[in-house]
Amino acid sequence: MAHLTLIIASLLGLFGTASLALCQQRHWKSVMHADLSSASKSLIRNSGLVFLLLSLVVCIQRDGAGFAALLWALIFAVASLITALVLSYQPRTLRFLASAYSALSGSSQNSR
Amino acid sequence: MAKLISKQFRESLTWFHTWLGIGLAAVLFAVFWTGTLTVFDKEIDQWMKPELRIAQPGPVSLDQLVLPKLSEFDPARESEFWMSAPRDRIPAIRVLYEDQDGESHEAMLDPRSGEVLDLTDSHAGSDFFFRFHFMLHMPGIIGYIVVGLAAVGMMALVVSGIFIHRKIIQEFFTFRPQKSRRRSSLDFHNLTAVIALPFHFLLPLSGLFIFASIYFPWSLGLPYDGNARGLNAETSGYEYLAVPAAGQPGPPVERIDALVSTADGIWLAEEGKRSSRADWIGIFNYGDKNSYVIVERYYPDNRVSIGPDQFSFDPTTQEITNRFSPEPVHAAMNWLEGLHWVQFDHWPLRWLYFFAGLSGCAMIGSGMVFWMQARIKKGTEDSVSVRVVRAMSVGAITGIIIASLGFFIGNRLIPKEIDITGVHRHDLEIWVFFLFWALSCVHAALRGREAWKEQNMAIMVLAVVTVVLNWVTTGHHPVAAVSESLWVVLIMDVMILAGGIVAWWVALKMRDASPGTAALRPVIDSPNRSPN
Repeated sequence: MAHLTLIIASLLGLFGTASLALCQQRHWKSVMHADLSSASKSLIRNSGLVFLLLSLVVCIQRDGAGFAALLWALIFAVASLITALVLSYQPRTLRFLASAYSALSGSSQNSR
Repeated sequence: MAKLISKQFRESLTWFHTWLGIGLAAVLFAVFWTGTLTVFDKEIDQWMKPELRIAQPGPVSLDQLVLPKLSEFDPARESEFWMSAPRDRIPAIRVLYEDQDGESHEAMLDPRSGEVLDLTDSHAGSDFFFRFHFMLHMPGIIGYIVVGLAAVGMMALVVSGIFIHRKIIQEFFTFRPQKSRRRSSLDFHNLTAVIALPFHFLLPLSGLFIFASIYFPWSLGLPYDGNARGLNAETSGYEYLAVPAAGQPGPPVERIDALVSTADGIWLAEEGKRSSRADWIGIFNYGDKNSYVIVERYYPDNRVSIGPDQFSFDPTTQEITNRFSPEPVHAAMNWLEGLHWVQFDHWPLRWLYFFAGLSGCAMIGSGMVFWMQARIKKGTEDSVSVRVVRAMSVGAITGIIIASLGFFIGNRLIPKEIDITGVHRHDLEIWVFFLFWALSCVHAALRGREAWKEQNMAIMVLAVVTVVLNWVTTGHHPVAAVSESLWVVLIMDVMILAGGIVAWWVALKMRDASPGTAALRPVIDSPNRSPN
């Protein structure tokens, strides 16, 4: 259980940092080879923040606030480093996430 | 924001950041590097003192294993006698005492038999790297002062770095290895700095807090009219719980386990099932009629905050006579100090600390590389200042890594029973450390721009030598370590080899980028010719 919650917190952290990177035109372009619409931009950024917040909540649930403040900050650090390295060496790895955001923001625009 | 930070302000901060960084790089790297190793100090101890490579024992009885031996240790009358049961990272029983001649001793006992372990005389991780981290192996208070000033400088570097970073949000995740080496080293410096920004700020801050009483010795006594005992009575249990010796012999202490269970039971009742247990047990006024026992918890396993929580017991009646747990007036302080001490039982966090420490090392290293690349671009590569800074950074960065490997190699090569009059074996190891470091510095001064590459290659070679020597001298090669469940040994060997491979990769990168002719490099690095 302790391992599982740690994996969940780390994955949420990774999704969070990857989303925050994807909401930037430069990184979105390197993954999708297309421009980022402003509607998608805010969706992606907000989702990224929610992922990071959830990661923090899982850390607090797991270890209490004293540990979580450190654990979350360092999970964020490692997730950011991984995100940056993926974007410089293998940006296509993030295509699945970018496509999901594309589909989401596309459908929300259609429904409007 | 743009208006707030004028061009002039940014330029002067850039100047400040650059020269403070160059000035402190060597000290900061040494502190970061030894601090990073100290995260695993107890594990390094097990590697360097192979007698400690014991499988984790179950619960042990101090009554059976330690108390009958007390008289063998020949402790001084009315002295203090400390012991601690095996913990997760220290598989042996520890005993601290003062003998009849007033000399302090530390002994490690085999948790299976209670026999005193005949340990290799080494300062290893928890005495050498740990102390080097805050006193740089300098005499007296000098090292503390140098490290303290460097910590203040580190915080100034973090803050000035935030202001001079032109696009801290836009380039948060940006690393462009394909661009010029000047650009990519700056990217890497920024990346390793910003991702762990709170870590890079909080660690020097909490380090300064830990030694506040050394940096400002007079301030702490002020509220007590300079009477240190008054301060100690409020902040330290030993003064608060103290009972004067009667001066008459008394019966020996025969039961400790029950006292520890009583204290553990109270913590359990107060804090629930995740409470942590006693870490040290002290017998005070040893051999006296008024001897008493303190069961203390200073570094709890289960939380970041540290601080004393102590029970004193009457050993004859087994009753609690007093308790000291200071009011949580400085809860924030306890948390800050605890996050620096890293004594808690949290393996994922311990590894994250290790990697954050390495990212700090990488931040300092890439900052130095950027400075030199910027000079190459300006065409001042052969000026005296560049030569000096280059030699200094090679000596400070690859130099201390080589010295650390030299320390491990010395530990494995110096015979355990070596007997040179007037020289301790543990000092010989430290001499080997400084010998390797000095050689690296000389090499860096002589070999100019080739030094980086050659020292990185040396790291790879020394890493392999270190692991092979561990195999030859202890028989614990990786397969044996797996079959005997010596995970600490296995992981340390693997990390040393991994570090060697990274160094080799860096050396190869440097060879690719420098075809040997200095004249080509400014062309490669000039922005209009770079491939992007």
